[in-house]
Amino acid sequence: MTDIAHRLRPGAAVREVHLEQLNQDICSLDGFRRALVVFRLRGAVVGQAWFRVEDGRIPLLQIRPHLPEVAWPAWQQLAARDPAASADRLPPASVVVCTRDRTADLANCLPGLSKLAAEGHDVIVVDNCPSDDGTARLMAGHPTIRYLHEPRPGLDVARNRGLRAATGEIVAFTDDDAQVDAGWLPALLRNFDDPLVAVVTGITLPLELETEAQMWFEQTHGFGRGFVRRSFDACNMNILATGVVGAGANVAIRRSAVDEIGPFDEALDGGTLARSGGDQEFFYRTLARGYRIVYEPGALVWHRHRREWDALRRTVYGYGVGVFAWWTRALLKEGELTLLKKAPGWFWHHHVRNLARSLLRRPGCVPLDLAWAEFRGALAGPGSYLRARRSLQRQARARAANHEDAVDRKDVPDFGQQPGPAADRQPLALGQGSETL
Amino acid sequence: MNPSPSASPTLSIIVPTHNRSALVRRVLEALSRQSYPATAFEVLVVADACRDETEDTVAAYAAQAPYRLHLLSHRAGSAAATRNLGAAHARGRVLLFLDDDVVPQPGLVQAHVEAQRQNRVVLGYSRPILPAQPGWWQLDARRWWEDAFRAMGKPGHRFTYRDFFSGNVSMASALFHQVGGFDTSFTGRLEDYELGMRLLKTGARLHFVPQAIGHHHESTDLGLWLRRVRQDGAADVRIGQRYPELRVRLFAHVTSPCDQKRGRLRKVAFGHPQRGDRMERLLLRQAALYERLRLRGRWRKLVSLLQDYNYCRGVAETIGDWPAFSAWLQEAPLPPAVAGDAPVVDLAALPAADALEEALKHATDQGLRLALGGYEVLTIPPQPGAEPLRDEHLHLALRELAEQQFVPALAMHLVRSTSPGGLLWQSSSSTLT
Repeated sequence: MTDIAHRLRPGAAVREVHLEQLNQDICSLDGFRRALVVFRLRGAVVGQAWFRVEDGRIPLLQIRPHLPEVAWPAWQQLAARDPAASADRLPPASVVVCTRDRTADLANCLPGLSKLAAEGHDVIVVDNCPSDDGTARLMAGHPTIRYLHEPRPGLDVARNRGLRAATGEIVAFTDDDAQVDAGWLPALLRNFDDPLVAVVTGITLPLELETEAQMWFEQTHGFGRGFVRRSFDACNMNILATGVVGAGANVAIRRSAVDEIGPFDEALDGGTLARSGGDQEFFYRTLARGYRIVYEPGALVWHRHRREWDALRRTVYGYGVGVFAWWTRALLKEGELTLLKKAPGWFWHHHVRNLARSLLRRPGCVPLDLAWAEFRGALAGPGSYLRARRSLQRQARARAANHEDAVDRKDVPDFGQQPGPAADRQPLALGQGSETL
Repeated sequence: MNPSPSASPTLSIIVPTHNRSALVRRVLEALSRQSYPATAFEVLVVADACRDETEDTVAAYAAQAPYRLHLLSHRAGSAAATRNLGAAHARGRVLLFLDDDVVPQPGLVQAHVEAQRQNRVVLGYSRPILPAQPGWWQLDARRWWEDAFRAMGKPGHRFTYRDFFSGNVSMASALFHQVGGFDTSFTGRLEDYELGMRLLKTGARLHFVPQAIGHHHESTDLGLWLRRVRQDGAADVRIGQRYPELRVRLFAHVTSPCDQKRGRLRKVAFGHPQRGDRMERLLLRQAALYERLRLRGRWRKLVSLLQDYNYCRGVAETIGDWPAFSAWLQEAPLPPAVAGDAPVVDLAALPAADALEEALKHATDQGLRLALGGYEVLTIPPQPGAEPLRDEHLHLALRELAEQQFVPALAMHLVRSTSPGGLLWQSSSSTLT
């Protein structure tokens, strides 16, 4: 972006190609060596392919061989658009975006959200423990979107706040650094006609791949899960490997099922010591309670990965921590004893092997510092979860004591929260992480 | 409180029960909260060999019920006889059978009454409700029920006798008595399937109404369910005796080749049906251990083995050892194939409506071949125990065929042959939708 035009950029271009209009080379890719081309047909994303860019263009002849791959997804997505299924038969939905000190990112996210609000959906932005009033001021300019201030830090705290405040039967979540595509919400919603479907995840594609960090993120931890719809339940998958199901940046949840599944664990994910894993753990419990999760590639969200290498390393470290943190929870709270075998197995086959490959500079290996970060994260995972939980319990106790004091003084308990509906002030266990992402 | 007994009710709700007074009370209370006027229906609770306070509970509730509430009791030890007794005393034009663990939601009666205007056998939606700490078996059972109801709700679903559940179903009283009610020789299980078979033979139309919601509080656990599977094995033998045309297909899963473990268990089931109790107890304990240790795959395999074993044991207890069972199966006719002279419908040259109707009439017994421009694309063999073939069944079969085979192939073809120009894509996408 800041690069001078005649120097090649480190990343890759991301281009959408509408197959209906594909009748010439893809041009104006000057400065890029590679490009990720996303194929669309009648609005739906049906496939993607990597190309080498020569002289700022991708010749049409190179694209053609990739088209057979998109036939099946193309058919599936066109067939899913049942003309009989009109919008008014879809269940009412709320959209929740949790944000924390990323006002600039959120501003990019807002046009899509405003459009959803204008269509009559209940759209909520949960401002999680903000350090300034930037987000509040930004949201003041968008009266159609509900703004909630959540003082307790933690992504899962904010998600639970959103779940409680939502009015729709279905609650769809996306991230503040993501932008929803047209047709995102209806595509998620139409999968809820099966009463056993409690969660629907969508496809998340990179908004840009400008930097080395974004490229590596996309290649090692990208959110893409393919272009074919899949249905998961405890019968057809290992429910402790929920990575295949999707991610919290693009997910819809049936609110009535949350009573059975339980809310997000507030000792997990961003803003806590566990750093991530809140969404994966929620998916695990969804499957363990006998529900289904559908992966719906018709519901598209564009995600802007972290641009800086430091941020990438922190994120990868966080993923390493998160997996082992939520596995620790599953072992201790849900009695998943098989993890005693599976978790070390995964550590050995994934983390140790990746690290060894990076040390030996094997072809296709990840950069050493990323492998090392994830390795360290995995080792820190169980301890981090236990500490996060202890800190949560301490906070809860402190709050309970505070509450009693307040009651003694016949005061309204004020935890620094903004006045909100009573339901939002339940003294839930809080997650107060000393580190943040 | 009770309305005057002179007016004849339009609907009689029959609730058979056995020692579950708390559940009955819950059903009676739910029936007083119906959107349909309470004066227009009567409720008959039929207590079968109740030793708890069921009779007192019902008698006490009768004083406050907004509908007419009758209590009948006998000692038959049979759900079939109990439902028949209720039907014999019912005065409504329509009978609604409601199990004591199915709590009707406020719109249930209304939905049944409205659907009955077309004079069909109306199956309600008994949504499974889990207990507070559900076991794995209960989670599986919920999925089984929900999937079964979803399949029935699909437009064009071809109903069979195995879709007939007696827990939440209504039909005209005249129809019920015409087919002779439930068969009381079925003392344990599957008396509903057997009645479904007779209903379909008289040409009754089955119809699923998802608005007739009852909350089915499932309290069965793995052990109890396996007892029932054993009874199902015995009851299926009785169904196979009465309807030889169903026999071979009914037991296809028992006669199909299997792995060693399963084969050994079947040998025990058929060879020593009285001696497997100890082994079964051990296996059940093993299943419980697998569930404790969260070994999902092993648990699933073991439960499948236990199910198979119990079913075979139920069969063996009724019909005898394996040679006797095989001989009995060989007496029955093979499942019918599509007859040589079965009607052919060419989709490229659709016959006139009356000719199509004529073809379908024969297709139920002889099978049907569907062709496209002379190429055979789909054969539908005669299906004993299913309702007569109608055009909506063809629509569903063709739609599924298209989704699974045709259109993917078509899409592949179109994509391959696309010249780099927008035109073909546009025409192809409009063909697809």
